[in-house]
Amino acid sequence: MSIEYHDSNWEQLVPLGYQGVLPRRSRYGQDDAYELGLTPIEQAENIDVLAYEDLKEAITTAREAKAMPVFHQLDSWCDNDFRSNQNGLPYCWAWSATAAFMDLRALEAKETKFLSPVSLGWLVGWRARGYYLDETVSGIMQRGIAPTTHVDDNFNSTNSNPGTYRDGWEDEAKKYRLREVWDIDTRRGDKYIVQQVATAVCAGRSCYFAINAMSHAMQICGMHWTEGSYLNVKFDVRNSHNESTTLLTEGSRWIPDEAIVFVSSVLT
Amino acid sequence: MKTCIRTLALFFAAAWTAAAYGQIEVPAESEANTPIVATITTAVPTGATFDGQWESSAAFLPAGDNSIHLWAAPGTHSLSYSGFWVQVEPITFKDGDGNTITVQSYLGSGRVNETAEFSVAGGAEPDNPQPPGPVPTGPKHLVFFVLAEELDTMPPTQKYLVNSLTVRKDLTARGHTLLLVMDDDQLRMTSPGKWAPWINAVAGDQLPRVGIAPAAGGEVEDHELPIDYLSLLKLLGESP
Repeated sequence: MSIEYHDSNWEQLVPLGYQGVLPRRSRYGQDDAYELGLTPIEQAENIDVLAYEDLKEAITTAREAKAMPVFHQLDSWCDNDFRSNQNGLPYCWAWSATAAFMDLRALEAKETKFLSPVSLGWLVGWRARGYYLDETVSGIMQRGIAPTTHVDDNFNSTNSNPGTYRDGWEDEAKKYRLREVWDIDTRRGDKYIVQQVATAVCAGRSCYFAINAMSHAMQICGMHWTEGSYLNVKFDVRNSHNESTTLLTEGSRWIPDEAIVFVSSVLT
Repeated sequence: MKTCIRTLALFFAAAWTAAAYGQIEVPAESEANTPIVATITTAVPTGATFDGQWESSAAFLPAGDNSIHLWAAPGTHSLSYSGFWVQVEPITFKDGDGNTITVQSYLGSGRVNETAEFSVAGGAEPDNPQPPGPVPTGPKHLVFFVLAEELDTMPPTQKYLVNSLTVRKDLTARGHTLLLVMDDDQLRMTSPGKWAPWINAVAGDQLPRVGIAPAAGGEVEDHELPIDYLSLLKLLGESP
């Protein structure tokens, strides 16, 4: 059973004063975003964002076919016994990016390999602080995520002392790099954001996203068409607060302020 | 120093150059109109790249990496297997300026050339010799090749063929394995490594496609990606 969050209890998800995400500096479709490797979803060659009128059928069919990332996630690295837990470290930006990346590898039919979110600590100089989603993605494109075998054999390790990691962890991390991502346009209203997210999720791709009011990053890995909900949708969200299941979110507070779709990873 | 290294490399190359031995196993005599199985065993060094092929005065079909099924008219027939192997190994050293240099060191190569004869009993040529049947079906490895930018516009049944967990579970239950979903960007890798046979199989073809190979090893066949799962099962020789 998923834990449900909506507009009236959304503030309970993160502690007061938490800061895990810094609002992005790059702009959708502009040179600074391209330089980080972010391709605007509308300019990813032939990608056509699903029309809102088509969402009901697309979401329903993709769920029936178990073609959304949440199904691959539960079947590979994150079954119902697994808990993703950043354990007080303000690294939601790393935990959710790693989750989205591991979902992508499952979708690509690659071997399940546990990767270490804390190994992305180099992005913040190994300090306990929040970071940018777009620049995290760029970091994963360049240097990858180290496998847990080279850190502490524990997905939830908060060991941010790379001196204790296994020799060669940085080289090993390069095997787990992103190749392609699509940037979601969040400037044109909630409805259009939902259409873009649905386009990705129905194509089996996760959305790495942030809610600025919470300063928190998570991962959308599934969607439901539910008449009467805000814009008639709910999201399956993988969070990193030691939950044993995905969250089920609904409401205007849960529409991403930033979102990036993980499309493909390097071939190793 | 460089001269010394070259000399050492040549020494090792010479020392490792070796022949590989092979042996063809085929029944010396068979009854007319019965399937004949021939097998080659070779002693190729571990890690070497090997390529070989069969030739015969009889008709034959491949039946795996090292075997063929033959059928022939009564009489004596020849059979040969020839191939070539090569083995290299990366060697890293530092030059006089302290730069790390890696070269592919040639360790050796060799040929396999084996011949055999077999005979088929009977005096009269059969009217219409038939092969012993199709290549045995069995577990297959699959790779889907897609265009990432068409993930939204592919027909839904084809899109779910690629992404559906239900499809993958059913393939697994039937003994098949989906090895990878690869997009077009990955086809342009400069070092495809173990994926090279798959990438070569679809080179120049219009995506999306599916590559299929026997799980036990063998040639990769590539096909247009079927429109739905039932069509894929048909391609795999499976019933729905």
